[in-house]
Amino acid sequence: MICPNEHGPNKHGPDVECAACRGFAAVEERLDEFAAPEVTPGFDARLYARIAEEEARRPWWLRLLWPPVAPLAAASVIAVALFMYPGKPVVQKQSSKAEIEQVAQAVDDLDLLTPIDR
Amino acid sequence: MEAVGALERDAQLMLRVREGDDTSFGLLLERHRGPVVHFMYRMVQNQAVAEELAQEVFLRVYRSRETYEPTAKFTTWLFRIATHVALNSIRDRKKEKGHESLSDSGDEMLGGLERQVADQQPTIEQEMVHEVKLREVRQAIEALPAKQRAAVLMHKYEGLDYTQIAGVLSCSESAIKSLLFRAYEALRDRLAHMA
Repeated sequence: MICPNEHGPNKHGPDVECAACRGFAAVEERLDEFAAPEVTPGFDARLYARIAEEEARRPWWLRLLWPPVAPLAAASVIAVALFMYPGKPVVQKQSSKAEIEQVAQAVDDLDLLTPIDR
Repeated sequence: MEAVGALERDAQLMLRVREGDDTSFGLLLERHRGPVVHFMYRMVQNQAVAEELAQEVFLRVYRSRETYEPTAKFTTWLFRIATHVALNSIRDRKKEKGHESLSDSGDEMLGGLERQVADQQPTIEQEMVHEVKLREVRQAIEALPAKQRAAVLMHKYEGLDYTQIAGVLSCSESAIKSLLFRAYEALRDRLAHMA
């Protein structure tokens, strides 16, 4: 209820209103008579037709971006690819360790072949 | 508590629409179709135009789904769009030269009389008195400046509070109270003889 004095019946008592409240209450009663008709049955169908028409006019690349299927799919492919190829650095480490062992063994073998009296 | 839950559900539904869930858009449409159409009808007082404008509102809601952020209540956001569309329509129609009122109150009056002849209840005189009173209420609302009209309709018929109306019209609560007070005063003066 709109009242310039910004109070309601409680301040005066349950059945007493200020003159402004009574005046605006009468306006509210008159406004109650202004009923709106029901929405026509084809409203939703017409709306969805407009939406479909607008979606059809969107550029194809924009339609790919929403819903965000294409970006999510691309991110998934990249994640899988990274997961599938994690090992190359580890393989390289193992190779270098093996190489070191081979060299060490070769040095040991050379020592064995060297005459004792040298 | 139930009202708060409903508001949160609206925001949640709209977030799902943002993620591509069109079923959630249908649920929002089901919930808010009536209030938006009724608001538009009382703004422009023509059923066909009101439904066309209401469809424009929901089209804009759907178009904005990708960037939607629940920074305000969904109803506030929805009625901000609706008010914007309505005010634009009223402004554009005022600019048209030779513009006649879009109000279909004349058709309704004729329709009322036709129903009266068919049904015989209430009496023809009562129906005519009702139609005259209704026309005066419609004219009183139509005579309000567009922003006052929108504020009154949101306050009286759609149950929005001062905070929401202030959010819709982008002004302070005190400005809304002042706006509504002036609007109700104007309506009281125009409708005084009907009391």
